[in-house]
Amino acid sequence: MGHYVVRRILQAVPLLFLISVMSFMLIRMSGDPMSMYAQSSSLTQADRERIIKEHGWDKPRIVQYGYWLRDVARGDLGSSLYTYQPVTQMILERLPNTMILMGTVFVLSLAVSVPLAIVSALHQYSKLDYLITGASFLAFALPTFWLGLVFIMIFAVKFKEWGLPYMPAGGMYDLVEGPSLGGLVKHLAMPAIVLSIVSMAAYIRYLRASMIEVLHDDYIRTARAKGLPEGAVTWRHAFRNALIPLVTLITMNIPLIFSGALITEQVFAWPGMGRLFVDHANRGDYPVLMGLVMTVSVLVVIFNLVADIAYAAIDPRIRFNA
Amino acid sequence: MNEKITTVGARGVGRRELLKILAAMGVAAPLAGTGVAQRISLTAAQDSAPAAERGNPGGAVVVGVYQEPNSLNFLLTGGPISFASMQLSPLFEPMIRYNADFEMEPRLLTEIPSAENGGISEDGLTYTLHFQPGVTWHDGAPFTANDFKFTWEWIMDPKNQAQATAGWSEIESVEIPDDNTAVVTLKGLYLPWVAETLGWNPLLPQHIQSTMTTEEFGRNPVGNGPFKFVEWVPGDHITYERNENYYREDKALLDRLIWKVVPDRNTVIAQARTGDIQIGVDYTEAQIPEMSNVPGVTLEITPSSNYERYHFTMVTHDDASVPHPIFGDKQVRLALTHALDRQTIVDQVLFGKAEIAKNELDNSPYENTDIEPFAFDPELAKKLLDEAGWIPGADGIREKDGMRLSFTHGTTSGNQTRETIQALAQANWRDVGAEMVVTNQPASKFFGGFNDGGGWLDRTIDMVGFTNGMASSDPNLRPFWHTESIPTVDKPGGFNHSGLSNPDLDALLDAQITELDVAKRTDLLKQAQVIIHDEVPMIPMYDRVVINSIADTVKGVRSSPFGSISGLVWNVEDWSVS
Repeated sequence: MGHYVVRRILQAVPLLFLISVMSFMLIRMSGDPMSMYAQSSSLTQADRERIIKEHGWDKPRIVQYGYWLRDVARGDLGSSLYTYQPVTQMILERLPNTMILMGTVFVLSLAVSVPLAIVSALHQYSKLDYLITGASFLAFALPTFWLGLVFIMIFAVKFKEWGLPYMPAGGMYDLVEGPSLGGLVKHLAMPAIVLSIVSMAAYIRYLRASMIEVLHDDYIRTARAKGLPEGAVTWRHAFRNALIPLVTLITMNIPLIFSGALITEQVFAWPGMGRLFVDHANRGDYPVLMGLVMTVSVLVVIFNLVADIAYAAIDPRIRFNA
Repeated sequence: MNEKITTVGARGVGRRELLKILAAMGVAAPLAGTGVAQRISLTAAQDSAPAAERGNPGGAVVVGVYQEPNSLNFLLTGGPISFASMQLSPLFEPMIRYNADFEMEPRLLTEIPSAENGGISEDGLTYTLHFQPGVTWHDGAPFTANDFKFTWEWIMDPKNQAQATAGWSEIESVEIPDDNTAVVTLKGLYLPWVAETLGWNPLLPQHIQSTMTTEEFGRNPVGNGPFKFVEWVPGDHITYERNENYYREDKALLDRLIWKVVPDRNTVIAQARTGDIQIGVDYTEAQIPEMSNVPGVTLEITPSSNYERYHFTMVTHDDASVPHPIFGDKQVRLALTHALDRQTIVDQVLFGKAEIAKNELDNSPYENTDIEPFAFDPELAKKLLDEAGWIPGADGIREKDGMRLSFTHGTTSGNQTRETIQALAQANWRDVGAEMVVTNQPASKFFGGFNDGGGWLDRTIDMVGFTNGMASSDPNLRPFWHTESIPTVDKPGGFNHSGLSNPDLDALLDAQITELDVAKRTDLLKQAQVIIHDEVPMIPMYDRVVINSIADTVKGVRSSPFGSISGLVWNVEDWSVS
């Protein structure tokens, strides 16, 4: 297995290189950092030319990529073209906030979706099953920005108008009162629920399908035939086997905890990684965007590997051929 | 319309007069004297108007902003007319500020340099600046004229990455005869110097800034204004508190001033309605109806000196001497201008809160008021197109020599107001047999450079829409309309978006930058406007306004039209909450 891991890590190097070239070119094509200065009347033409020269933007894009790669090879992700801060620092500032939000979403959506999926699978084609699958279809189809705005409109704006206890419309805590755990939970509730509703839907559909498939397998019939109680059949045989694909899905979703939610963080003014990406994409701030893309790429590669290893650990049928 | 909406212009100063004071920003009022210095004199505020009643001290105001400042060091924020200068001016006392009536008020300076008070030498090259005594930085160190000299040196040193050097780069030398005086000698005669360099610009503390990088200081700013920096949580908020050692008698009333970053403009509305924020900054016109009837919140609408314009692309991308196949013909440009119903756009999309823009230098003292906007007249438009040889084809779209009258139109994508107006324009032009195809780009691409796909000036889109105006203090039109300002592959600088090249116009634009006599210069600029108007290189659409929401509990807010959005905070020390 050691050989396998080493080989996979070595394979990741050219993959990450390709990702970086393609991302760099796409990001540079989609926005020009000089657009930040477009309508700033205090910049003279000489100032503009100086800024372009300073950053090497007068050189071909492939040369600009070379500069970026050289710095990364030295362990330097560069500095933001907008805030002038080191990219690493900016990412580290936002990472805890995103982990609080996405970690909550992760736990919440699994805690709700696993039991629902099992109930749904065990009572396939019942009214309850239709309700659960119908609701998850609907939830899956909802755009998060819309759901977020509806939540804000109802639970923050309208509840206040109706004189009910109302939720804060965004941010991480009350600025006048100052930070507190209670305040954080209150501010966390709406974005976490909105994101959970959407991700729950995916988990429910996945686990339900997997559970149903397993329940129709021969060994389940055998287990039943040899007289095992239904509880033991469901949990020891069916659920454990149905979990295998879910574990893969969960492991591969772990990078999401770090990458954050692009739109929901925007709507709820949550100062996380997704916000960082959107804010800087709007300015063509490619060092920050590259920093984020590469961080997430590395995480995806790592957790893909972890998923494969976990797969082998829980499924004895799988062996590594080193 | 709605009594909850107030317009700044209605509160005392007429809109026209208000914008007229743009003159004061850079160039002299025409004076009787003959010396150069007298011509560079500026209009200063009259001895202060009856002091407005101040509220009670205490409390906090949360201001919701959709854009987080990139830095709190003005070297990195792109000059006084930038979003970030809203966060800067409560921390850093400006040398000169502009009040709600658009008048200059000396702040760190004891007076605005002029020929009369001896602040400007007879030859117009030497300026003597007198600074307020007794000013201290927030860490207790004294502020002196040395900080002015240091700021200039710091800005001009390329390793400090200062973005904007306008004004500062004109300085030849600075001498400091005593702690409160700086004597500045310019490299040459430069009319807008006072406005560009002293107007709403802060200074840096030498004793601190010299120990930090520009970026570090921007995160840990030490200023000398009415508020002190407390903390900055990136992506979330920035907090200031009252400066108890402010050098003026009128210390800030608020205990705290908090900037809350709310990136989604719909969420800004929700937060203004729930009271999470007391002030919401810079709504779009499309949000007016939703914000007009919120209990306890008043909308403040302030005119700005910018206007939205549609530029025709008159020459090709590759070769600026080759006319554009459709818009190279003036008759077509004129026809499409007549075909556009701008009044309906203003009334319906902008809720009557804007006016039709007229011409370059609109609403400034240099405006040629004899110029009338082209009237809405679709019949005339059709006649002009017929005459130009564009004949309606089978699908109603005109054709000429096998070419359809179909053109692309681009602006920033995702802007609801702009997209609605595009739809109306599309219908107007369709009515006269012209087809407009929308090709919008994200702002980060649209406003890029000529060789980086920046659609607003690279002439790959046939017509482009964006806002610009006399944002600078000086009415110099050369960077926008001179032949030399047409961007090309080899010479990508310059902002002659349309590619208009007119030798008579070039001559006028060359003459006006060296003309010292303001009356003569104004006359040259007025002649230039006539040519620009007659050539129809663009359609001036409508004047832009700045829309803020202010909770009724907050008192003392009265935005200045200077700096557009950042004009909100000019008198922040007088804000209070009840």
